[in-house]
Amino acid sequence: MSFAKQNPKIPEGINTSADNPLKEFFILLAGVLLVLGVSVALLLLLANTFAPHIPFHYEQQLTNKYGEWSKSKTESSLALQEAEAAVQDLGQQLAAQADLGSDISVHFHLLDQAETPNAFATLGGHIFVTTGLLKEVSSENALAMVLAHEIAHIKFRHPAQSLSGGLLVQLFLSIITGGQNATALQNTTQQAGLLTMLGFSRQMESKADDAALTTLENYYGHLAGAEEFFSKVLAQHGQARWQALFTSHPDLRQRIDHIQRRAEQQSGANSGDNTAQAITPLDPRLANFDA
Amino acid sequence: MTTILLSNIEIIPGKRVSQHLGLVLGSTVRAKHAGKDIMAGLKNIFGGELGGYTELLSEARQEATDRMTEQAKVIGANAVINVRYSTSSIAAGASEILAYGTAVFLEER
Amino acid sequence: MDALIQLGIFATLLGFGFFFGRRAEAKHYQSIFAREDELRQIVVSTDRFPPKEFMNHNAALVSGNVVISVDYFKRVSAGLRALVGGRIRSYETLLDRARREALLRMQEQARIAGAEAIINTKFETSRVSGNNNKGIGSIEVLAYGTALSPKALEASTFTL
Repeated sequence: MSFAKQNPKIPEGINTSADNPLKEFFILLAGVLLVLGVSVALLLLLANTFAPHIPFHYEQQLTNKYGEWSKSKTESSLALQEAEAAVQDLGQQLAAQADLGSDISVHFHLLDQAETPNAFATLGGHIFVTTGLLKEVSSENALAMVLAHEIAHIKFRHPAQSLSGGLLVQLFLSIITGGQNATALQNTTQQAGLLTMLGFSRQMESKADDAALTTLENYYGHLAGAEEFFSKVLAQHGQARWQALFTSHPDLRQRIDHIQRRAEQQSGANSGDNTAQAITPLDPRLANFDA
Repeated sequence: MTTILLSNIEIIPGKRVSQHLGLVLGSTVRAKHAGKDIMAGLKNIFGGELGGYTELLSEARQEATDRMTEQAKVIGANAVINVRYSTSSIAAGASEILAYGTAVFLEER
Repeated sequence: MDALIQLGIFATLLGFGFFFGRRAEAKHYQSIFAREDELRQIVVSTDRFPPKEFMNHNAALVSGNVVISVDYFKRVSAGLRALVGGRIRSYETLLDRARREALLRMQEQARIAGAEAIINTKFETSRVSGNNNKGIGSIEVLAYGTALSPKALEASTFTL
């Protein structure tokens, strides 16, 4: 026998492959994102189907503390308390027109945040409006549009839907990627999940807008002045159309167009009755915040 | 081509090494799909054999052996002696199998 | 907007990982090929007994190790592959490089000792914890064996 004189020259490509890794990467990425997107969408659909059947008083029990917190705000200024009462009055009148389920009730709270014009609805029928929003609106109709939009969220049980859907999706993603322990991968899947959830959220917003307009029609008999708040936000911040893909709310221009289209249909329906199109001024109790 | 003889001893009965060719290696990294990982996670609670992983490792070992054999074939050997295996976990759920040995040419004694 | 920024950071990291990782790998392979040719005379084998012609040589333990890490692109790509299952090609080149580098370092050590062959070579691979145990941190490959060097040569080195 003869011992080797030198190490053998073994050709490359047996233990490794020279294929471009980008090709494999993109095929995998597209496949995984597609499957994830579909599964997340299915989970959200599931949540959206079943969440409205959760009894509303469970939500109320969960969120009792909001009510107590609101009552305990004795130290807040008198103007703020009066304004909150005014919002409450308007809100309850709108809620009466909103065709809410018999077990659903809404409560309105005013947050003293002058810098952030915003309103949101949460579990248990609690709706929060900031004083910043009161500054932005010049008529009751514009405020009513925002309130009716939030009431519609409560009506369709959107807070319960998005919370339970979000929980399901988080659970699903962590089961899938949990064994991996790879942060990079978790980030990727979270992004995919998030984008799908945002798509659902935009659908909810459009649905709420639609229901809000119906409420306004019932309440005022017309839709004049309803889009004011959205127009102002658009004028101030501007928003490129592509950005809408990454936000929880639909494109502002689309929302305004939608309101105007509904307004035209509505005024076409009862033409000749232009006197009814008068815009209602703001309640004087809210005027303090009107800059 | 003839099959390659694999062995983890160095003196093959009835044969003698006529030519010594050198080290050959075969390795592969493999993972099971996430479904199997989840099942294995559940199995960890109750104990017992993790079928999915047994399969994964034996597939990977087969592939590593095949790659080592291919290296040996390419350099003109008809046997790999003193074969050793080594297993290591590279990342969670993925493991690497390495097979290595000395490629030789055997003759009938 | 936040999601967009995160996505941007992710894509940038991927791009960097891919570009620099690929360049580093190509460079490393070039150096491996060159040194393998250079060290081809030092025969590496897994035989446990020294061949007849080396019976009177000196034996000494030699080893070579390398710790190597993986780039962001390969990590993400491997993570995706792990969801689907199958061969993780991005780690295969990584391990191939690491193993050959460890062998080369062992051979270099043997050359310094004036050895002609290395027998009973063994490999050891381990994961060096890093990155908070999340995914792959870095891996170490150790190659070790017994170097056989002629006695005459060693005697001459003593006279130096």
